[in-house]
Amino acid sequence: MNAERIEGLLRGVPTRGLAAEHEAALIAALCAAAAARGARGWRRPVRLWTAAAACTCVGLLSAGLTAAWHAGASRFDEPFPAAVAVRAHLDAPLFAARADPPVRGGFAEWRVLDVKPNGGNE
Amino acid sequence: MRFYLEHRRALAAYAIALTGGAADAHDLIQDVLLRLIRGGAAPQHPRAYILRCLRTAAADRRRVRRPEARGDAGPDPAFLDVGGADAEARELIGLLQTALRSLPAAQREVLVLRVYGELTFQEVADVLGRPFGTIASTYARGIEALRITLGLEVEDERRAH
Repeated sequence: MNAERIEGLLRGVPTRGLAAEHEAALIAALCAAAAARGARGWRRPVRLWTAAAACTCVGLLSAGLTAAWHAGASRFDEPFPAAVAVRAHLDAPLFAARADPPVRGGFAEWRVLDVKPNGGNE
Repeated sequence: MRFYLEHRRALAAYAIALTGGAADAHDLIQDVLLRLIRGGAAPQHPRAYILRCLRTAAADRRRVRRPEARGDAGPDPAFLDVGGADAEARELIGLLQTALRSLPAAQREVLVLRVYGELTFQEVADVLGRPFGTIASTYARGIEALRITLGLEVEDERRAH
């Protein structure tokens, strides 16, 4: 068993990730914090819904709202025009069950999409 | 944000290794990334920089929670995932976890950062604040120790059959 084989063994083993709820909350918090700093690509100051939108599509709104609130988002009254939505394309049962429309196929990646005020994707 | 999406596997693996659990790992990653975003940090080598921040933050937490504890036990290979594996793969992962745990903390840390943190030797040296040569030799010794341990395991299995 040579060194390359050991390295191959180590690299070939799957590793654990964060729980889906945790990851959704984390993404919402990061969205809120990035928006609060006026990160490039964000066209408006942070709005609570903006960050919470990260989680709505996977049915994790409460986690997103809580995380966004703690991350500094401050208003409920703005819908999320020009917001960033995070669409979950995950094959985990949690996402497959909660995503609307349901996720089919399944490559395990989050995608960040800019959405227009009317909700359409850019 | 995009950084997290691109490096989420390495961040989660290392944070779980540092904290021992996915919930604590989530808290750790969130704290570190939010602090960086709010501070406007733009490091030259972001992955190495953030892994170093995770390591420092985890050490701070350990000191707060268990001030009497001395030294650093090093990252725990609890981040290796046995969840979806079949029986044969679970056995192999178990062997690897045991072998990694048997390494000295310094060797285990270098191996975890290099293999699962996907860092270069120079980046590992930057994260740990040690010379490049020390990191390279520590890594080589760790791999050799694993080779011996796993080699013995293989021999043991052969004898058992």
